[in-house]
Amino acid sequence: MNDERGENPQSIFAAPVLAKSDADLVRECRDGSQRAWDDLTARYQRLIYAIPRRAGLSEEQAADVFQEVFLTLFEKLDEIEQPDRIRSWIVTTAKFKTWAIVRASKGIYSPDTEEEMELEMATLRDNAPLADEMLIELEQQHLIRTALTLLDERCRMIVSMLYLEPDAASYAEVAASVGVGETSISPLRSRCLKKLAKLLGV
Amino acid sequence: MSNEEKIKNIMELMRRDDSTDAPADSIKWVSDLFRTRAAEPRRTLVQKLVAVLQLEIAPHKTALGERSASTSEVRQLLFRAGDHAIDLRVEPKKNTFGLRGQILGDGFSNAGLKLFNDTQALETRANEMSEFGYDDVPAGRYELIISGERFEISLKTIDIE
Repeated sequence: MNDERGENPQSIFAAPVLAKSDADLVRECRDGSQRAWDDLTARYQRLIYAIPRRAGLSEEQAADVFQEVFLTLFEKLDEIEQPDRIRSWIVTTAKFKTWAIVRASKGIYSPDTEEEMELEMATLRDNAPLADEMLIELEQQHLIRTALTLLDERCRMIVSMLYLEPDAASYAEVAASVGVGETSISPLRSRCLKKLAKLLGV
Repeated sequence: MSNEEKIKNIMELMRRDDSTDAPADSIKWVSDLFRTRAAEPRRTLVQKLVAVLQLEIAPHKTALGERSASTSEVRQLLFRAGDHAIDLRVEPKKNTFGLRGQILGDGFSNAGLKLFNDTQALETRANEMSEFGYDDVPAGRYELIISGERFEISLKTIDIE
């Protein structure tokens, strides 16, 4: 699913460049840094939780998957060979743990090996909960959210209010929050989206 | 896909993003999980070495400093660090440089490498033969850190020019 850079070839986005790379955080975790572990958790908690939720698991089941993924990461922290591809490792681990619960809920026990699990998952329909397309979308949404944190506050507010709220704000509401005239919102919106796209390598 | 279509795709992805944060108690559980490790940091058995430049062969020159008939523009640097040697080749390109190298000695297959200065941080990984390469390195002074199984080698000053 992922190419040599750990990016999905089907994804149109590049991972935004953050002050501390994933590899940096993993290294610091290995050196015992609680701060690095908490930062890594904060960076990926939403993506990890979204995978079982998108697969249809309950909040409780999704929380179990969430904790199991991090428990596995904690146990295997020193063994991960490519810390710069930790996102790929996280998505794959969450996918397998979610699928194990899905199977268990159907009374079917999980395959004995990871290879058998992979083969089975490869036959999922395109619109199945854990199909690659679904996971690609979740990863892209994660990258967008990451890029949003790198925008200036005004752009972040404009983009969030227009696109991330359940009920999109009107231009008048955005203008009032940002402190500009309503006619300024359209060009500002356009500029902010271009900045966001640039952060995503688009 | 045109840039305009890609931006529309970004907008659509954001609109469809119905994800939520993980439960706060689960996040706390994850944080607490690490405290046992944080209390007892892993003792690293990796020995740190600083490499020393042993030999530099400029383009068009032989090892003895004589003019070479070769038209190669590649500058070769040979470093030594303990029982290990690092062979570096700097090759000028149009506006940047290529950096190729190999770590001689055991324990560096698939090693991680970080080439960095105040403005750049480039990471890569060696192959099974401990060979590595960087394309398109801007000119400048860099430090290179090579992380192997039991050793970490630091090349403090590499002038890419």
